[in-house]
Amino acid sequence: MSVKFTRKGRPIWPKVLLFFMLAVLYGQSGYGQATPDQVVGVVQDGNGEALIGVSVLAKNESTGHTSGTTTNAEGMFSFSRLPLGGPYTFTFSYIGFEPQALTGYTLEEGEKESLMVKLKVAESKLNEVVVIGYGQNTRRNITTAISSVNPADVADRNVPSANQLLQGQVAGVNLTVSNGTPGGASRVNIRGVSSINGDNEPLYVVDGIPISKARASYNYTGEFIQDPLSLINPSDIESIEVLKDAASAAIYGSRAANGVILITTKQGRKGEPKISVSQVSGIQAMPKKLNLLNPQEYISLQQEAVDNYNSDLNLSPGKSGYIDINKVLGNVPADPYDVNWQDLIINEGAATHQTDFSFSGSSNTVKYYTSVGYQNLEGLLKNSALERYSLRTNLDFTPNKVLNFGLRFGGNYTNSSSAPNGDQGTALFQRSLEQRPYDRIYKDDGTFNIGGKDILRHNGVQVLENDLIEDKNYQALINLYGNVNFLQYLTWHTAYNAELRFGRGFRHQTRLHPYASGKGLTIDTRGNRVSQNIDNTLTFFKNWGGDLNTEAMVGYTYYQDAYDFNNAQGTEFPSDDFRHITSATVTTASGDANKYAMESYLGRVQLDYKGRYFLSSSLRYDGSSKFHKDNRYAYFPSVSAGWVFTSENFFPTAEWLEFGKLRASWGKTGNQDGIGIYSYMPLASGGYNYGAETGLSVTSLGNLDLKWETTRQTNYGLDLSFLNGRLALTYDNFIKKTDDLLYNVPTLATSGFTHRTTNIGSMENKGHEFTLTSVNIEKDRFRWSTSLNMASIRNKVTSLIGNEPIQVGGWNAIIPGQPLGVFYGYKQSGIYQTIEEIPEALQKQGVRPGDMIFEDLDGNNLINSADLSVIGSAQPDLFGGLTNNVEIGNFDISLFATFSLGNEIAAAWRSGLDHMGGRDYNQVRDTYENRWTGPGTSNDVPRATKSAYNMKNSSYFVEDASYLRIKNLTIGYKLPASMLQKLAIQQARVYLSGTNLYTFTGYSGYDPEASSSLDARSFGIDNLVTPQPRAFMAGINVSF
Amino acid sequence: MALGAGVLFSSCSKELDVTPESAVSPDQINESNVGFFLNGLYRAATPERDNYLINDIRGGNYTWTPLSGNNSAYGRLITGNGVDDGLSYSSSLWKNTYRTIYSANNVIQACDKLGAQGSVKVVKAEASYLRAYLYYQLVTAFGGVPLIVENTTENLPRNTADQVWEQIIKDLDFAIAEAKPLKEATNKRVSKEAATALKARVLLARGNKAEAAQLAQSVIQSSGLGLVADYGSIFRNTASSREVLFAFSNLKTETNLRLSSLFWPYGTAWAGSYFVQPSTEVLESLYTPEDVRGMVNIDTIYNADKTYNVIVSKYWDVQPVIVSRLSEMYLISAEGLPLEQGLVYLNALRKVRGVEEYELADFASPEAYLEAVLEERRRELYSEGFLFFDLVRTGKAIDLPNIQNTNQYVLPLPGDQINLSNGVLTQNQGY
Repeated sequence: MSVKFTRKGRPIWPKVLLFFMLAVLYGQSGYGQATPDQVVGVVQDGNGEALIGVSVLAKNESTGHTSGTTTNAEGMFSFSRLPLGGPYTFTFSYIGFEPQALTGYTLEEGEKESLMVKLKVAESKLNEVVVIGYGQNTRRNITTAISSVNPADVADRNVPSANQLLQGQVAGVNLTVSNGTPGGASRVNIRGVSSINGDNEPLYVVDGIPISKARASYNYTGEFIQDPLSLINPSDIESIEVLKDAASAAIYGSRAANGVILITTKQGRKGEPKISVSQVSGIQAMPKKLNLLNPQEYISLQQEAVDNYNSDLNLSPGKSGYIDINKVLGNVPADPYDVNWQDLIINEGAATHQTDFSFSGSSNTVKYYTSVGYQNLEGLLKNSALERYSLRTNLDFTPNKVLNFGLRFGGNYTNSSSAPNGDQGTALFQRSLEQRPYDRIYKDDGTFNIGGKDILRHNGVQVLENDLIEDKNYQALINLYGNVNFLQYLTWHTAYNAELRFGRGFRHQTRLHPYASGKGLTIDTRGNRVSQNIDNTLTFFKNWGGDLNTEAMVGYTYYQDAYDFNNAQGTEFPSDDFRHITSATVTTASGDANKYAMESYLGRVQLDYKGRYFLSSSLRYDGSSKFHKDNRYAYFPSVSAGWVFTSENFFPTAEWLEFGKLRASWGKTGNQDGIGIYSYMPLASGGYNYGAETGLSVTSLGNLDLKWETTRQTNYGLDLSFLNGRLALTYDNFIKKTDDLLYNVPTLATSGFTHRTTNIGSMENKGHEFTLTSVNIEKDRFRWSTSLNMASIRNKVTSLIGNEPIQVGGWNAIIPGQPLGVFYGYKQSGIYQTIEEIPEALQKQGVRPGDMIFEDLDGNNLINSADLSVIGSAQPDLFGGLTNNVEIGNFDISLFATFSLGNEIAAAWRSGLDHMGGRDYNQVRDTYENRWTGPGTSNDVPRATKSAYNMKNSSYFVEDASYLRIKNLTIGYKLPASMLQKLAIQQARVYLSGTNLYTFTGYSGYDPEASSSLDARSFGIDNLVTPQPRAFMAGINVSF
Repeated sequence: MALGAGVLFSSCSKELDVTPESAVSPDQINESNVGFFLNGLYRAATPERDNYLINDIRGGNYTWTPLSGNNSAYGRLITGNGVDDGLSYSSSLWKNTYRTIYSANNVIQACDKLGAQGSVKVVKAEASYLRAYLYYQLVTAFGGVPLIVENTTENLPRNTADQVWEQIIKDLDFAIAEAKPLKEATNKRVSKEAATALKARVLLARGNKAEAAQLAQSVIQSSGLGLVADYGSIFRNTASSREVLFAFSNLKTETNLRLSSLFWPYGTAWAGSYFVQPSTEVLESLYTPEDVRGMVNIDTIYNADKTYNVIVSKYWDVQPVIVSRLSEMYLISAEGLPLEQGLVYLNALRKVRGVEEYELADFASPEAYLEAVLEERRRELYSEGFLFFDLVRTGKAIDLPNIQNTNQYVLPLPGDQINLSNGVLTQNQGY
């Protein structure tokens, strides 16, 4: 590694080395003692493989004396100093296995007992291992709100980004695939939105490495923002844990306000070396197309609109302001056939492939997992695609019972190409659909028709062919760790974690591109990001007298994120043969570097009494360089408790209720993401040159009072398990309150600045979460199980400095008492049917029957900013997922659906495609056919007119986007073992899978999950982003 | 263990003192770098394309194109329909101008602190001119606005238009007194003559015609510039034009402002968005065939299939953005002086532009003469940001089809700023 991690100017490596030296020294001395053994034994799993680290407890039933030990790398354990007598009971417990007890042993002088124990894998979900922050535990003992997803349980979907595996799987996690670009970022909200500033995304930690939230794309293409999680191969993931409440996440205090997602990659398992190969391929299609007017209808709509407008304003030909229909219609061809622009830009049958190969296994001292993967995913827009090559090697060494260490390394490369869409000027879907229906791609001489000159809008085919957009990422994920177990009860853990990301964005517009017409344009961006952290923890674990387990942990972490980039632009190339900046006539360049750092002191105590009462508490003290010295540090405490009431003696033992636990937790977490790295400082920046002379400008007033945004969350939970685990229910109720919200708040422009980063207010999220899993039928060769999760979350801004609505863009606002980012516009309450209904002031503005009635809130007979009000919200009332799995013999069928109720969309695209002649563009058919044409014909769709009055941002464009989506249907078949044995194949499964098969929704656009922005303030505005494709795939998994 | 604990808890606090590598604290402004801040101010004061041309858009020089449509921001200003407090022009003009006024105040305050001697005084003079130019844009677009000459975050009400005009004159007087003469400076920086020229424009707006004309005449005499026969070269080779008193340098590597992009269609030499095109009135009656300005300002471009587009062809590529040029001084002299003297200036200009000179007898009344001067201004300064305010200051804007009443002479203040001010800022009548 060429990367050097320094603190206070000194390299940190000597400290890490020292740690290993200590460990080795202690390890040697630990083996030097010799006392005769009284009891020896070996613990194995069902396959006869040794189990390492099994806790063994010896208890003298008559005296109550207890003593404990753990098994070594060979699965062996021994006791040498037990008081003679008995009877002794030996209890064996190990995470992931059913506990076992051997009773009735009496120890006598000079005799030696030999024990042989085989532990059974735990069937119940309660004994599943759960990774928690800086440790692990079993589901049975967890007192906080943590959900686990095992990718092996999620139906085959070939997702480009690992986080998409979470969609519909975890109650309270709202994952919205806001556009269908390959590798595009999704929005992930854990328990609602708790920050205002852009960043509401959780912290992702892969094998201890916090992944930078920075986007992995370097070009601006309107909608494509590459998800950093798309760099990682989902096939390498063993488990995903979602830390939902503050008590579980508080251990990541400073960065945990939006929840934490822990991703653990695979490691080798006991047994013969295993080779796995899998391959899946498929095709994708547009889920829906929009129905627009044909040439005749288009001409008739525009004629109607022009006539209405001219007569309303008494405009006759020659008079200024008169609209001439010929100018509107442009060059109508002699044979005006319908050109379907939608089809011209779509990549029908976009292909998808994924190939994975892995080799894994384990010996007594080393576990290994090595994989290579390749994924290629084409997008629905021509030219868009994501390609990923990934490599992973995980090595875990356990040379002796004192020391274990390992290296987990992932190397990834992605190459994505994208197409301009969404809110960009040459946006393909919008501009193509808006064309007059008879506008054609080419002139008769075969050259492109030019948008704005020959045809109405940008020529999508011309744009596609002349705009090359590429993003490349090279990523290394490094996790290097070591543990030393010493003085019987202590474990010292050290880890170095790093993410290195080198990215390059390249965009070239040829001389035929409308923007670069005749000149050519190249934009070349390169960025390097190195984020590193060091974790040091010391854990004390002791069992007191058999009934009380205690674990105490203290630690220190340091995190540093450094980014530098340069960006060069060149225009005016000699010809299209020249693509790089060297050949450009005019060049500009910029470059900068920045860095921020955080340090944290942390501690945690966990108590477990009789496996019945649990208590856990943590405290973290965090500092961030983003705040002024005086406000830099903050405390983030948490406490949680659990009670397994079914273990109480007074609780009647009931066959049907196997397990019941009550949980309660409280904790505080912090946020400092989403604000500028130097926000608190007043700054005068360079880069304001004039006339080729140096220029400086004051760019920020700073805010020395800036401090941590903090979230306090209280959680109550109930876990119930019935009928031997066949039916399980989890319920959680939470209240999450965020104070000192960080926001780049709009300020009076007269101050010289339009925004200033400030702590501005408070927000609240309250919610209920349910998860139900059920094995409906379990027979010999038939099994049917169902799992359902759903959450209902209410978000509310509770206070703002000034308490005035803060408008965000043209569609949204932040308003106390309302959910964050409500749609804010004019409320349409109907259509004027007669002239008498229209106030005189509006009549003067040209408002006529057939125009919209907007609510005049201040009653001044004018419609202006004072009449804006809340007209909807993108936040759902209820959302979740439903999975059904059926196994019949060798067949397996999985049906997975997601749903969301009560979420709305501001269909901004309709302002361009549902204008009723207000624009010269084409128009959607549905509303055209239902437009107002005379009194009583419609009370919601307006008449045709060239006036802008009906085109205001109003409730007319806000739609209910509730949906139920058949996300996936997979049918698989396991080849019979008899057939495979001859081929030396262990397992083989073939499957067919369909994704996004059908969506039940009333939304008129392409996709009810669509959003042009990932920002919670302006979520749910649809500029016709690329929808999620409908995909059909066939795959095979084979292991040897 | 002690050693271990030491490693475990060694603090990194100093590592959290991270400073930027491309910025400094603003209080480091001093005599040696105040000029850098002035350069930053020049850059920021370079007008935006649409704001520069707003008086042409509102004054009837253009109509919308199919690409922009009658309901775009351009279309709304041209037709007068649907202009409300959400108008994007209001928002960008208000916010950008106040942001730049902050920079101007910052430089002027620093100069005062440094003692405003010698070179610092020249810096202050140039910054004062730029502040006056910024307030001129605000007062002509909105009427009275909050007058901020010392930076503040306070929520301030609007001053009267008269107070704003007074401050503009005060700043210009300082610039006239202390700026370098044009002969010692370049026309990409503010000179004594540039300040005098702007003051002449301001006095004309205030109705002080005589003094305006006197200042305009003094600029014609002292600047060393002259009218040039090649009208097109003024806009297409601006940097070396002998008519330019002051223009923002607008390099391709800096502001890279393309006025041409508003007028030229995609797929043509100066490719742009083609959002406006010459109005029918301009096409039919503004220029006579022999007028060189007509040939430069308006052109018809033909496609292979014989379809064609009529465009405003005045601007090519990226050129300095002109604030004042000599022919405006001729026109102010023509307007401000009595008919006999004024006509000399008007004819001098007409002659250079290839059109027939007027006779005294052509004008039956002073009104007829004023009409002729205004028409000449429209021809000469087409697409240079003058027309609408010329009609406003002479009371003729009420005749425009997009103006129903005099309230509409000014634009609405941006609605979001009114809301942010909690009613301290009041909206213009009628919006």
